[in-house]
Amino acid sequence: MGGALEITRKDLKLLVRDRRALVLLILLPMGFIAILGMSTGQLFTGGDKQQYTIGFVDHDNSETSTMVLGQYQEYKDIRIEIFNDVPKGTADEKAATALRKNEVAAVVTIGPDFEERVDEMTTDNLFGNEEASHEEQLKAMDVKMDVKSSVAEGGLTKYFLVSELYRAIFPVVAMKNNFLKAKAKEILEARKHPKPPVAVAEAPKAEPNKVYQFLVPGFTVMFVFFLINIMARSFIAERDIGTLRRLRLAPISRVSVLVGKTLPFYICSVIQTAALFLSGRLLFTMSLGPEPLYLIPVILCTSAAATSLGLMLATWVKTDQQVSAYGTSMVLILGGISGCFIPRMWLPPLMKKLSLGTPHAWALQAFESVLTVDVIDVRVIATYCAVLLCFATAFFSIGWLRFRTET
Amino acid sequence: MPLLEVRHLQKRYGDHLAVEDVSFALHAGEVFGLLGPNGAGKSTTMMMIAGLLPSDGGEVLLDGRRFQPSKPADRRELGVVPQDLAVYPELNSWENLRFFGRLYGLRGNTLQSRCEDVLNQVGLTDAAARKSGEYSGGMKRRLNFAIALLHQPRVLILDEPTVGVDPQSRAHLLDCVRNVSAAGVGVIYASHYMEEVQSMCQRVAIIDHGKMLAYDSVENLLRGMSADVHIALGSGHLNGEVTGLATIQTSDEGRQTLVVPGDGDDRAHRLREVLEKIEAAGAKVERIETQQTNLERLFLQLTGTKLRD
Repeated sequence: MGGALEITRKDLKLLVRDRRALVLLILLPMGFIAILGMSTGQLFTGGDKQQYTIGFVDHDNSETSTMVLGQYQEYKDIRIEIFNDVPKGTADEKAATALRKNEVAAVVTIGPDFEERVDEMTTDNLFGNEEASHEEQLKAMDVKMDVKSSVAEGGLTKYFLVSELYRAIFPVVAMKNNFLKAKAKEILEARKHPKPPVAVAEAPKAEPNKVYQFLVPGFTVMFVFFLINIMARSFIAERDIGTLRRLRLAPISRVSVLVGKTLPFYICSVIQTAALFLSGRLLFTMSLGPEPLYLIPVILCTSAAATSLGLMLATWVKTDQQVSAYGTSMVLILGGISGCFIPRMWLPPLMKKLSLGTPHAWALQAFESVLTVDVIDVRVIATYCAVLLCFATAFFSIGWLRFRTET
Repeated sequence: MPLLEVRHLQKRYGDHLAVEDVSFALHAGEVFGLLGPNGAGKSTTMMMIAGLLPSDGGEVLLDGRRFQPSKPADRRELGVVPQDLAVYPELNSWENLRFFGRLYGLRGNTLQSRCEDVLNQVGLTDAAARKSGEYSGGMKRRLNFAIALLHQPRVLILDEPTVGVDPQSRAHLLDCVRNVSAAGVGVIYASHYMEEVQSMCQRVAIIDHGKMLAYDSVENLLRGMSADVHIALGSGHLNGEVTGLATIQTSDEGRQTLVVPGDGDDRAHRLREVLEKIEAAGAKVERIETQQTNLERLFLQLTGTKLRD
């Protein structure tokens, strides 16, 4: 296999000198993932660390309205932007503008009669008025809430804001209830010594970024298979300039020639995949799963399947135009079928079944079984890797048969 | 015993017989010419000899035993200069030579000294550090040639080695071929350039449409040919009188030259008849001369057509 290693060394040298290929292999996928990440607003943010901004207008400026503000400020994931009424009469307009421009997710406006209305409330008003809508209850307290967001998210935001408003005024109202008076007093006392802000969800500090958890493996698999184009072009170039014939005249076996032509791209593919996962971890805070070392066999097997497919294509096509037509179509179609562009769980059942005819799907499943589980199941990973190796063997064999008969 | 012997090689593509019963022998130190137009079957023949293409019949013997291209040891005996410029344009001459040299098992000092030798032979030492993609066509051809010499093969196959080459590089390459054969290497030289083949080769096979039309030494092949006789008329004209005896060429000034073909046993009789017709027509002969015989004329005679480029 000495000849194969010489060809590998030569091709690696040519690849390193070919800056366009390097850009296509490493920088383009990273750029692509980053752009998609930015479009979801999660680049460098760590996903769940993203803050909501809530606008707050206080026309009451009372002790109770300050309690409400304090209640919202208890959450570190929520930023409260207070719109001052300076010059007088402009606070509402400023808040409305911010809401319109999506600078805030919601605006809570406390009316001038808020404290007075709350003082008049009983615990029955607070808990017993189930028939009244939120709007009616808020109106009764002289509070207005404007939420501009998607239906589901907006509903949740409003629910959260109302709940926290009730929590804020609860001790004030409960002081009038003999059963609750002691508890209310305790709460009011505690509020004199505010606690540090807490997160809305009790999430771990380095919560993985879920968007990248899907984007990085999906696009990594797609771009790994994109390699087949560069591989096929390398073959065509050898054929066109006549060096492929010269390689076949050399005293080395044809399998050595094929291995030698495949190995550099295999190495490239492994480096590309590792680099993409590493950048996913460092830049996009994605999780590498409970035991990242299990990524290694998956990367090795995925690269084997990808480069063997590239070899098969290379022995099939004859011109650059054919590479562009067949290679690119193959990459995009197989990527689409397998679920590289959208999470596999969103695929309809029929597509899921169809996708199993592609190595991409098995690679994605293998990556999922390392990245998104709490406990690694070695047998599952081994099965996926075995299937990927079967694909690799089949593709390489077809390529070898084609190459044997090539003149 | 010949160094290399080709026996009854045959290649078929469907119904088309691309090479039909081609046989010849090559001796050590000999330059053997394979002459024929493009598409004649020369490259197919050479690909079969080199083992790049399986034959449908016949065999190739090296030192009297069957040549087996699947065996690395047998492949080491051959050096092939393909018609394509089979070098990596992104690599310089050193890198190209070292890469192919290693494929042939050369290492270390041996590889270095062989690279230096062949670069010197083809006159590329000064340009060896430049990327071969920046070379002229002639320099690329010389590097192509150098790669085939690197492992010191006993048989060298050259497929149209001078196509598209400037006169200086062509002369250099032809000198290299002479030197290589003088060192005992058997050379198969395929070309459609008759002058090159005639000047380089001791023996020649003329091939067209896959068939061998002639196979002998250049001297013997040309010996069998008689020169055409050209009769230039000083005055007077002939028209249909010499049909079947001679062809008439008319110059821009309107002067006629009658060409009496040199082939055929009755050429003396035809010449006498033509001279009688000239006299009968009242025309005057200005001069009579014979034209030099060459391989092109031989090819024309054998095939009835000119060598296609």
